[in-house]
Amino acid sequence: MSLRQNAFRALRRYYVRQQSINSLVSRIVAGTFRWSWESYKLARLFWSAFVGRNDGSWGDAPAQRLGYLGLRIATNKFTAGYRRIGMMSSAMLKYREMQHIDKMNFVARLDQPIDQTILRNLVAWHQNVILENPEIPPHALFNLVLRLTRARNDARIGDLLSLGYLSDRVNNISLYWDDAVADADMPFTMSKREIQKRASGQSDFDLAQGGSPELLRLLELAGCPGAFKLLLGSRKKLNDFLKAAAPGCISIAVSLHEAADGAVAQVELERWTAVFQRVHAEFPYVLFCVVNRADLAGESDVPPYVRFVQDLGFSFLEAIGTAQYADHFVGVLDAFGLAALANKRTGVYLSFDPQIYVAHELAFAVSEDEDPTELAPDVWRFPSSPTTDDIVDSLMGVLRRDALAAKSPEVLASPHDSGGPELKSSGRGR
Amino acid sequence: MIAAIDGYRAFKRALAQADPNSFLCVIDFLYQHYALGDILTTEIDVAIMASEQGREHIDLVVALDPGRPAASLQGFITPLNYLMYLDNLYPAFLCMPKLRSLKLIRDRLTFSYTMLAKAVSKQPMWPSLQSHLRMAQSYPLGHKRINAFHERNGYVPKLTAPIGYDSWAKQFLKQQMPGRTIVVINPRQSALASVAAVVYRDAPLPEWYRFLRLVSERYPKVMFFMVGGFVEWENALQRLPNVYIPRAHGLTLGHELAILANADMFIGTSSGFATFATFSDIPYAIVNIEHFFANYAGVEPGAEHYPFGHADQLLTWERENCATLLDLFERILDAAALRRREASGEYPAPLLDQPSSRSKPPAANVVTTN
Repeated sequence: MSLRQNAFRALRRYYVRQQSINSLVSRIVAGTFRWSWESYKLARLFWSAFVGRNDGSWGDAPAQRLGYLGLRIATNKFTAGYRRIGMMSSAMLKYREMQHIDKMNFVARLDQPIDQTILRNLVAWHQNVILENPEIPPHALFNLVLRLTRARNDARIGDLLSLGYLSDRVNNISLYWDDAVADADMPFTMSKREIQKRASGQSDFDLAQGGSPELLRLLELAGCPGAFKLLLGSRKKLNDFLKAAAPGCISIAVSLHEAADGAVAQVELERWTAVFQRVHAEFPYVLFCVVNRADLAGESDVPPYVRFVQDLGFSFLEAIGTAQYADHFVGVLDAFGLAALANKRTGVYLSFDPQIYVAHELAFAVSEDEDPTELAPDVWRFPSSPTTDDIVDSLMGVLRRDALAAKSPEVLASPHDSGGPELKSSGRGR
Repeated sequence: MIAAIDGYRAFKRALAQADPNSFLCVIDFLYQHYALGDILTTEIDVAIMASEQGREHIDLVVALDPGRPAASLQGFITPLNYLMYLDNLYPAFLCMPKLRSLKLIRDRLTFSYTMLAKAVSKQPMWPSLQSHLRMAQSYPLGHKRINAFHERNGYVPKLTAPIGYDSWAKQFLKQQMPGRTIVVINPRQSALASVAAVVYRDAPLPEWYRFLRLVSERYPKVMFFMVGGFVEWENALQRLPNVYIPRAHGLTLGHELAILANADMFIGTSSGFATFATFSDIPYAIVNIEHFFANYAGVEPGAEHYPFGHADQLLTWERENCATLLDLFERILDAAALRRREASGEYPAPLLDQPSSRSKPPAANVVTTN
């Protein structure tokens, strides 16, 4: 190495060392000052907490801020010491919250077997909580306490729980089969004010009743978007299935009235098969994905373009996802229908309860010469038992608009043309 | 100052309100696994601890943080997909013996408050507060405590069908499978799962298909129930007339566990379903157990039973084939039939049409579909 290179290197080392010494000194000075200032603020916070001084709301109290400080220190640290600090801070914060907060924990009770109505009513409970408590911020979470006195012999408890934690707004779920146990645990599941309100006569939400007719009508009109999280796994499952079973098809999620055992009633299935056949005659590339469970006992003889998704490995949550992500929806406004409505699926929605529906409401109908890009959601609503012609005509209208929006000539092609998807028969729509 | 001291005292009083008369079980997915077998083994351990401490009821708290829903070993479980894994697993929580309440807590504040309250109230819990803070959980879970309890007391607690599903299972089997001998099977096929692991332990399916066909010919009243994830069995299984696949009929883990609890026997690879059978009274044959697990189970490799197992609850430590499956099946078949007759008070028609029930399988050159 030449003399010049050596000199340059020496000079550069000196310069860097000088910089680091300077920066070290400045860092020490700045750090000392900052440490002193932070220590003073921390000491003042401790003192304020100790003497109980608080000029603001309970959320701004020194004790509260100390709790958050402890949480911040413990965040993303997993040694026992930090976890201990995090636990103590969290417990203190939660205790303070339980002393002051209201309308965070809500009780729902059920004294009868779980069926399709009860599952819909859980969504109604969700809506009731939000509507009855408009002061709850839009993204705030609340907790569900479920008192089920009959569910020890109910196999649909799984569906009820799944629906509960699918919500965007429900945080914790506590499940009790005995009122005495639930009462004893109330200091941990409900705040002080909520316990006082309950003691003074406030009743629990009865899942068997489902709320007032006005609530249910509003639920069917507006849906309840916060009740249904959009799960990516469900979307993937449906997408993979459609690509394999019927590539390029138009998928329509279908939800029908269920019998007491949770499967689709046979009479209902026969009636709707007639609907499917008429629609299929004009739109052979439609795949009907029934989200309800099929009858375990019988052999439901459905055409090959009708599939029971729960027989194809879809769980209850994935069946909800089918309703949320299919191209369209047709059926009753049960939990599946409400999930589809929440995700703005176009289609035909039938009122779940004959008592709820008041008037025959149509969103609108768009003529074919209008600009398809200006299409607004097409949601057709009917009373719970409309005629087959009404359902078929409205569903055909939805599909024609879909074809226009897609601007895809293949969708309107005759079934005799080559290249279209072939839906093979395999028994029970499988 | 007095306010601060009063506040602290009130805090401590509030924490001391937990019920010390029940036992608390905490499953925190921050360091515990989403695994059916592990959860079921934990439940038996907890039931034993509760029994030893004289507690009649168990409260179960399942905690997870949506921002960090799984341990590092299960990194494929993310905030975007944890709900699917939880949904697939929750019926296992309902199998806990003496279960009194179930809480699913996704909020760390509530969970910490609950844990601290239980500790302050001196409610017995598992894991202990110290173990929980250290996240001390080692895998695989062994049978040390279970074997010790069995040695002292002569029995171990049994897993129950998930709460809510038992009546359904009894009715289903009575209506759909009258007079049939119900055999639940679970040949492991991790290669077909979404996250394949340890595929060398997978069951040899051609051997299983031969076995199923043989049984169909010789024991026409036997109905096999193939349990496990929907993706974990081959399409060919649906062509076998003596195989029922619950997941292909919209049934879930809860239904499968309830059917297993009411079945006549279980045959399958060491798995979560095998764990359920292990801690039940039904006859079973668990095949191809890994030799390293013998130490954790407190047995010698090659042992035919667990220390707490009955005579008709068999273990094998080698890869199975049609002959071994048939032999195991026939060995426990008589015990299963006898148990069923005793339970129902009925005397169903013989399971066989042939005079001899102990036949050798045909030669290995029988054509199969695989």
